[in-house]
Amino acid sequence: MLPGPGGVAQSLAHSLTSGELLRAIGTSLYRLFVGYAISGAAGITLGVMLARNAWLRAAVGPLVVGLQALPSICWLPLALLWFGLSEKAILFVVVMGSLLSITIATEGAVRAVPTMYIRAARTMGARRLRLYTRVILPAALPGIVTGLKLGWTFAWRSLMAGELLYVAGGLGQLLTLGRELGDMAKVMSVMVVIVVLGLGFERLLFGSVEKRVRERWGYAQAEAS
Amino acid sequence: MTAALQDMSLSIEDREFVCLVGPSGCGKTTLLNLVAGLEKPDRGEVLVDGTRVRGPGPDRGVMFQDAALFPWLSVAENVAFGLKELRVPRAEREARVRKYLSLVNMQNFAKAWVHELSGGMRQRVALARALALEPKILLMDEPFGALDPKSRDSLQAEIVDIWVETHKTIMFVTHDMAEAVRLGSRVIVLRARPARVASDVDVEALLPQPRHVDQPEVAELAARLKAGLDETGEHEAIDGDGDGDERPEAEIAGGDRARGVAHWLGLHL
Repeated sequence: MLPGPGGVAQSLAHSLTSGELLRAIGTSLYRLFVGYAISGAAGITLGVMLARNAWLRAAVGPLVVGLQALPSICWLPLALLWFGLSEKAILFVVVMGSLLSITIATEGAVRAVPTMYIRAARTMGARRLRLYTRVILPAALPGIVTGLKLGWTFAWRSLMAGELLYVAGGLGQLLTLGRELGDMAKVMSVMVVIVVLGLGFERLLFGSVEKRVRERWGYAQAEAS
Repeated sequence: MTAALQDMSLSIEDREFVCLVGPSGCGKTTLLNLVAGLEKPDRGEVLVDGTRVRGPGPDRGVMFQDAALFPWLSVAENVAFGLKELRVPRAEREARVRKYLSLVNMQNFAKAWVHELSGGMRQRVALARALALEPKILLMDEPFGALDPKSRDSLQAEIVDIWVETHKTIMFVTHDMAEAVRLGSRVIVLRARPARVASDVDVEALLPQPRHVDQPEVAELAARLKAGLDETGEHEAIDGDGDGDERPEAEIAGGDRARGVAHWLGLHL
């Protein structure tokens, strides 16, 4: 039922040398980074706005929580209707997959910023935008980083789901191709690549950052005690 | 909603070290926040040097019970925070950070992170941070309340030294009567429900600095003020010059630099 590790390694080597795998990786990573950058910027902005504006929170807060429960691939039909069979459609799915978890984490983190930081900053002359860039965002950073990490995982999963269905380059399409050819070794080798890339980038981007941030912000000791 | 402060007038003169002391609910912290500009009075006004307080300003440095240092900044960067907001040039900024960290004996911790400091050290840095803006008035809200006795002792001595050296006007909130008598040139005892002035004592005239919290005279005066607070009786003026009568408004001119008029008619929390 399953190909041996030798077969998988061989298939991996073959798709590497043919350039097929590298092209697919390039396509997928490009989509991932563009989509993730959009949802990171939008998610943090939206999260801060929700946290600081009670009216906005009452208006769209439940919507945000509700939509987060929707698996991101469910956005694909709508995306295809809106954008057609284009890069925009797949980017939309990636953004919708990760945006809301980043928004919710940011909102929570900003609302948990101790008011004494804001009061202290105000007595030292920080106002308006400076209060956000110099106090509120840095103070909320540990929570935002956690949200960004979660968002990364969701973005990666959404992308793979989208590519599997939407077939236009990328690792997801390579999986579909393997299935159509009945080439189980190929399917397995692509799965291995997907796992390695997902974990590898997560470690690379967040590995030491999350721990260092939590330590410096003084959360590490609070948790230990 | 209850009024935290009502029909209260208070004037503080230039270079006074005023300790506001009283039970919880007497509105002492509200009073401090009003002067800091962190809270707005529903009625009445706060004047600093004749100008109405409309919000926080660099002429009034504030220190909180929790040091409220920013953990994402180093000690030196914390002290420089307000200087950056005021766009103080870099060279001057660095010089002031060094000067005030040395003043509080924290010059060797400039590069340390907040989570590496003890509670007493954090308050020292918070003091340097407030002083770095060179405010005329220093507002302190129970800054030593959460410290161990040893740190509290040394910080009390240092704040008196700083007051003597820098001629700041200090408003210091505490619930510890002995601390108030040990530190203040003037002690204002507030009574809760309704919040009003119970006594207003010129401590400097009775017991000039230096004094210590273990000194019998300090303990005795603190005990007398406390007894006065526990009685249901009217306002007690211990030195005959207690100027704490509840008048609807008051205006007492200070020195040339600080002319303070404070007038509260009713503040709601």
